[in-house]
Amino acid sequence: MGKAKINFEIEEDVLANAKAYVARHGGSLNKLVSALFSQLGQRLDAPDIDPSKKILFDLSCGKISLMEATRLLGFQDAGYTLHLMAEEGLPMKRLSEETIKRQAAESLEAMRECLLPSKDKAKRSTKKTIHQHS
Amino acid sequence: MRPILIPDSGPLFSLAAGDLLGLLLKFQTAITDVVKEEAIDRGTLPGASTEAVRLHQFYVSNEKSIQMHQTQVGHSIQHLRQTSPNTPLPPNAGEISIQSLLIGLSVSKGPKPIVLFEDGWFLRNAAALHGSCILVSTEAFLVNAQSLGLIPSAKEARAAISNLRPYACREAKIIRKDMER
Repeated sequence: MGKAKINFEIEEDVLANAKAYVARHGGSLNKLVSALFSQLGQRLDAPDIDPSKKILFDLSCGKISLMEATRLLGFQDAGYTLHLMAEEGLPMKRLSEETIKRQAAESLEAMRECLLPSKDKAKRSTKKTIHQHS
Repeated sequence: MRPILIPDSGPLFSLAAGDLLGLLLKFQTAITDVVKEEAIDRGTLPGASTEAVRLHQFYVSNEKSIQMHQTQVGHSIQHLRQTSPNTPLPPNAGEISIQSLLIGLSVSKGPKPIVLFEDGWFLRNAAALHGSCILVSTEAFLVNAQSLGLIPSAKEARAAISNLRPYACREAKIIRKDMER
């Protein structure tokens, strides 16, 4: 069967993720996209995904929160959900480095203001006050 | 007046997984009644996870340093339980209770509180709370903790969380593959 060329647009971070995947696992972007496309019909015929795996997958994609996943899975606390994610080899959703840097920059001053005086500083301050009074 | 740091349940479990809960004591930390119920109180139940037990022990040891705020959401749930004692927490109750607390705090005209949410939360909800507080993800919180000299390395802290959190699995698989080559 002949080959055809297609063009499409995707988010830069999605492309970077795909390139990293290819770098880790070998092959090429062409082969990866072809493999994904060729699975589409098969997936329609495949049996339904296990509901608990769907919940874990939604958590991994950031569609639902850890607590919501815990509730849906019927666990008594979220620690079990974290461990199940680990067993299934599913990562928690992570923000892009750019977003983390931006958030950190936006919140640094507020976090500094929120800091409690360290115990050493408090002790030094108390000693100073006592010294001044004596 | 010092702003308060309000962690949601997800980051509490993450910090517990990495044994990093002590970081919260460096700040003026406050939790809502609902977050306490869904994260901390679970550690008292038989068969509680390691993280839940760790959270509960941390809270009991430092109860005086952590403010606990009653919220309208928590109050409504308690009211419901007077007639139906087994009423479970509704979906996203922790997040809603934090929003309820933020509304209360906005009346007092104090400094904007800092709210610590799990990383995935930002993809869904960040716009809803924009303006009423300073939002920070767990990862950004760790980056700033390093900048403030509270931890030696955000990367190491992330790795500590990863030892129990699922990032660890992915990294471990990559390392194993590299070793097999």
